[in-house]
Amino acid sequence: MKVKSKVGVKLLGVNLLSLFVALLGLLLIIQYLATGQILEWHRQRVELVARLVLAEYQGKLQQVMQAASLLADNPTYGELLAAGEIASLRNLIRPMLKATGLQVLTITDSQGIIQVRLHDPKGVGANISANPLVRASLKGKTASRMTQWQDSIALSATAPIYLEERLVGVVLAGVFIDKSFVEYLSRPGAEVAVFYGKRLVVNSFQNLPEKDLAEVVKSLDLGESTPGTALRVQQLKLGSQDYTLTYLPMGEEEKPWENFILVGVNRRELDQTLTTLKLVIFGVGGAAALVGAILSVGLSQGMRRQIAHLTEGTRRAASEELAGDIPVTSRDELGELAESFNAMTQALREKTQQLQEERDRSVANAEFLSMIVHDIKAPLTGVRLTIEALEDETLPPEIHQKLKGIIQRSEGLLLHLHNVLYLSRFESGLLALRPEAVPPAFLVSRLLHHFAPLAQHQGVQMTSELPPDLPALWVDEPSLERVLANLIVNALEATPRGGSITVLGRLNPEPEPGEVELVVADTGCGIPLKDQENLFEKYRLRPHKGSSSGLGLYICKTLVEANKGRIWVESVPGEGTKFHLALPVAREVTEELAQVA
Amino acid sequence: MAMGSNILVIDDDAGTREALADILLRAGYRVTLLEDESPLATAKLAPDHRVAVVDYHLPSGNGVEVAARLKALNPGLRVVLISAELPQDFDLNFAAHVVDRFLAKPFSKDAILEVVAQLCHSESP
Repeated sequence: MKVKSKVGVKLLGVNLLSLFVALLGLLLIIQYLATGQILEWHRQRVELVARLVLAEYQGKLQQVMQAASLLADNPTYGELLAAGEIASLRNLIRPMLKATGLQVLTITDSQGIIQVRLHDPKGVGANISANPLVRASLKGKTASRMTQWQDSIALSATAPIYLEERLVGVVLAGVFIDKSFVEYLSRPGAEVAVFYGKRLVVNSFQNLPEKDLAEVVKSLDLGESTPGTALRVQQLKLGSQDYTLTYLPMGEEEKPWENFILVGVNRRELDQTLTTLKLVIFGVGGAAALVGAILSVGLSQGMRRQIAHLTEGTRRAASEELAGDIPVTSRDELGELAESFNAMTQALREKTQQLQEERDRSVANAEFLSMIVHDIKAPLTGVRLTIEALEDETLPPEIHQKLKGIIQRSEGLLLHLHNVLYLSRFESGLLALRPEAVPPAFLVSRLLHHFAPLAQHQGVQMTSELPPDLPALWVDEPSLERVLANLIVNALEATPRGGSITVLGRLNPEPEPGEVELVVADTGCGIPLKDQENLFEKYRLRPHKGSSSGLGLYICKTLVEANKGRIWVESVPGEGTKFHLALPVAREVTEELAQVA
Repeated sequence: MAMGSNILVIDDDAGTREALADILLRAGYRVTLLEDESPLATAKLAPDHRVAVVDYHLPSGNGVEVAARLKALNPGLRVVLISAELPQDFDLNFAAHVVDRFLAKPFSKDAILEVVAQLCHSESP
């Protein structure tokens, strides 16, 4: 059998869709986390570079400041300076230049005039009291600063020289640092700028105009009020490039943004990394999705086959015979369902067979009964006709009366025979109802005509009071004839001589599309209330009517309900009984009524 | 020529056959009685039969087949089919071309006399 299952395809679709959605979600989460982690590493690197630069700077500066203080604290230098023995002082200090690793060593007197200048003797005698470092030391303080000096950075420090509490001069020490040390420290992609006294001293940012960096400094001025926040790693656009920037102040806590190191990493490099990451993640994800899809198709194939078998089996069970079992192809709940289905169809087959056998028996019974009824009715015709022929003979009147009685009792016999036959046909399913439009007045008058001799014989008046405009009914005519015949014969049995039987009728507009109510009313003995409840039950025993099988009213109810009608009784003991029938109006009649309305 | 018409009665039930003969003769008709249709194969049908009363259940076939044969022999003949029980699937309309009237057994004397009188007076088709 070809595997063709719509549910299976949908199942596969749902499977694949949920796989893709789950995978996509997973990939997005992975990508988000990985990107966050990379940005975090990136920030840590920027900060590390900044701290390395800062440490290097602070180390060097510390070195210069220590050298300056060491020299200033030597009492011999103060004495020589105060005594004006400059030559001795120079000779004494000269070896110190190499020992301390200084590149600049100048000593001034208390007025700021250069007395010793080891690295460049030409400047001796010049007044450098205007130098901010020297000026500070002349006031008794130590000071340091960073300046740009040609292609180098100068780190300089000054310290005052005292002799017995009296300031006698100033030591100015300095080193030059090649700018490349900054570049050496910075890793590829990380750029460094150093600001000292808000002035840009070092700038390794490539293709970045100084005015853009000045903008950065401006933004730092804004951050001065809240220095804590400014220390954060920030994303900034400098020129046409995106940078991740961080700032680190160099000492001087009260003015953190005078001197600082700015480290930036170009985002372009980062973006490349992130792109690579995305490619890797989505590549792996796509491959996983493909594998998942293949597995899903493979796994669902079994389910789809089982579903297709189930569908085909159900369709065959519904439209054809409960032929055979369906194959069980999977070992899961679907397989169990298929097994249950097979068990169910097998049980159904057995039940159907039993039912069929029962039906066959019932049909055989009905046919047998039909044969018996025929065998009774055929000779009954001869009996009746013979009796009727006898009526033409000259006989005494009382014999005539008795002959009439025999004929009329044969009517009762026929009614019971027909009841038994109808019931057996109905219960064996042989009775085919053929509803058609039946005018009730015609049928009622035919029945009254048929039973008129019997009524006359019993001294009962029988009339029809149906309105002439009563619409046609939608019923199986033989069924209605049987019902009315039973009701009339019952009424004749119940009504004493001198009584009357009336057939009434009316149109009820409710329920839609309207129904006709026929009433067979007699002035007989009536039915006690306790007997009314189960009047229409099968084989109901009627103690006061020994001759009746009790099938008549059961057949009436069965046939009326089979014709989509209702039957009920209304009776006052001693006054009479009314049997009501409500039956649907014929369709063409309801259409006509609708048109008139 | 209503009175004196020749009526053919085919019924296997002797009681019915004889009662019918009695009633029809008393009403002034001439009557031919047959137990089944076998004499029709050999005996030449009297040309003056006006009406045939045929039972559906006959020992060697059904009344409709017999009616068809009768109509073939004598197109002017009118046929009354009588039966105690017609088969469930029997459709009278289907047999309308060979059966003129149907009477369910047991019928009364008045019923058969009325039907026969009507058919004797009606024109042949």
